Amino acid sequence: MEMCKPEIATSQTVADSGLLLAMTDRGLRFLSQVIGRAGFILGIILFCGIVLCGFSNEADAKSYRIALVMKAVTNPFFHAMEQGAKTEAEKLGVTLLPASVERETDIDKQIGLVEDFIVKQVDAIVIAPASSQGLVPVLKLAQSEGIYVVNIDNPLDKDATKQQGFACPFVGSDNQLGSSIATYALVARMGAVGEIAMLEGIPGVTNAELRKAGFLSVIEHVPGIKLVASQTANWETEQAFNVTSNILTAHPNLRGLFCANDNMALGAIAALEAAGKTGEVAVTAYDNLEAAQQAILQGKMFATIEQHPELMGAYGVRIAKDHLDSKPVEDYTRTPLDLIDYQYLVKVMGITGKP
Amino acid sequence: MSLFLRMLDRLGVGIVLLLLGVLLAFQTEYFLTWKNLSNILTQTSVTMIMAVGMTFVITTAEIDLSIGSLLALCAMVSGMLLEAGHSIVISVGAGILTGMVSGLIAGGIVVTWGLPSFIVTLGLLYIDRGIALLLTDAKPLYGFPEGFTMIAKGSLIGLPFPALEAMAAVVLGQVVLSKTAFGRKVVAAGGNPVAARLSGVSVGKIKMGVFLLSGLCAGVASIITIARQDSATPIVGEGQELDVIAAVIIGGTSLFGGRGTVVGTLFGALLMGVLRNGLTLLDIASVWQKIVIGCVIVVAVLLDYYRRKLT
Repeated sequence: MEMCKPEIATSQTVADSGLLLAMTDRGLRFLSQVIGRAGFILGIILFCGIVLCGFSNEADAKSYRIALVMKAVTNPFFHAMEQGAKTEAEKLGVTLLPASVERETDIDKQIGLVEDFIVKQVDAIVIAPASSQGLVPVLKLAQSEGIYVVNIDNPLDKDATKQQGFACPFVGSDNQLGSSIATYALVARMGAVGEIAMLEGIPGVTNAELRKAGFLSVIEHVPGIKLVASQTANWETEQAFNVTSNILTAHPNLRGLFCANDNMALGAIAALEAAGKTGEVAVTAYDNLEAAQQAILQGKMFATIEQHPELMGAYGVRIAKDHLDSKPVEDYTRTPLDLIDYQYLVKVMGITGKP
Repeated sequence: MSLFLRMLDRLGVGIVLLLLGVLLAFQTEYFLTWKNLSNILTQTSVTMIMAVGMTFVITTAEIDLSIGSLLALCAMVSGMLLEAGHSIVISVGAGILTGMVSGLIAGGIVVTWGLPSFIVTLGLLYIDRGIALLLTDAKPLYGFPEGFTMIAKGSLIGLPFPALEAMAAVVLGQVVLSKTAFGRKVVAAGGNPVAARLSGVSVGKIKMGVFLLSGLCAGVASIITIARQDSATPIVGEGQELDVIAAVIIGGTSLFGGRGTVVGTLFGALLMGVLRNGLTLLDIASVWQKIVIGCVIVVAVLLDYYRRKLT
């Protein structure tokens, strides 16, 4: 009985708000009936219109149009590549059309990008292929349509291109050599004794396989070094953290770790820190990201490999332009490799790190 | 609802698609070329075929998250058999069969234990991807016979094979959904499972059926994928299930079950394909595709909500 009073009081408010709700509801129903679909359509069109009009830019009709197709928008490596290509394109007076899929696994979408550029009748396509095999058919199609193709960064598979009767110039670093250099430095740092492990890239991708091969080719000649684990972290930082933690649990005497790229090294370093093993395990990696430089300066990481993505982008554009101007071009242009360690950062690059 | 509104409701996405096409045709000279249009059809064919199966699944108020991984698994099975020198028919058949088996397993677990398909197929998403990676130790396969790659490279009266195959899937799907007893039972089982059961529909069997169909579609889609790339890699199709679900939802199939349209799904898939293609032709960064497609999905679900309130 005591509970009745407040309930009566609220029930009036409930009735009020109920009426309000019903009215709102009726209003919404009316709205959705009358302008539901029409409004939806108009909204979409308006939105698309704004987006399209705001961004469409007419390319200079006279200069060559060169497409740059990359494979992961979030990786700073490709930002550097795009920047290098842009600078070179401005210098040469050609129009650069950069495009990228979101993730390295978006093979089908990258094929779609190439098809779209074929429709746009660009003069050349400079591409870092997401799949060394899967992109070959569409690139062959592009070539047969009179578009010049330059392969950069990740090389197309030799057997696949031979089978399809496709050939194009390549610009990139020797991944196997680069990882051999990194591994050699790592082994030297370890004094050529102790347990070593590797974090691999996405299995089956040519770059990942070549880096693994380079790593193995060095350690198999050093009897004092024992390979205890070699697992993939799919190029990703977070996965690398977990994989490294597990490796450390299973192999507490680990002394050296080679990561196939810096993204993974950053995860590995965090795992080492969490396990209180910073400095005990020497880490080398690949790509020379800014975050990796910081880690090297802080003594958390030993070294990394610079493979100059900006030069890959720039040389790719230059080769395309040279060919379009009917100048001879090289089939294979190697971009230089540098081993970046503390000494190099401080003495050559003059970087001293954030305070 | 008036007839006009009902027509709008039916054709809504189609009209949006048409208007978007007109807009793009004015914006870029390349859009309205036969080659570009057939490219769009080819690019959306894989998503479209899987979306036909997904339309059935969603109409029964279930979901299948495993198809992206299943695509890779079927691709690896077919690819291995092709590489081992088996005939095209056997390789293609085995790939499709793999899809059906995985679909049956998903449906079987969902029905037998009455578990949410969201979780069961999430599990299969990992399992199928894992097996796909395991089969060849993650190595890609390539160099398939000419006759096989024709499945994706051939064309008939200017229409590429993948587009024709996708259209066939859509027509077949729509006929099955709206003209057969199975299709009507799918709608009934999704709209009101209790009433369906009381009127003699075996809801369990129907659900097994839709998951089987979804697996079959993933199998067929995998064949086109590997024929198009002339190679099979175990990482293919990652995240593609989300594109497929988006196509179905934009097309007007209700996530709550009981309302499905395969033709709508076709428009949904095409809308995403045209947006992607158009933004690339206009040199607009790919991030905008995401924002636009995301908005379209949210609007589509809101519309579905009010449509349910009205009926």
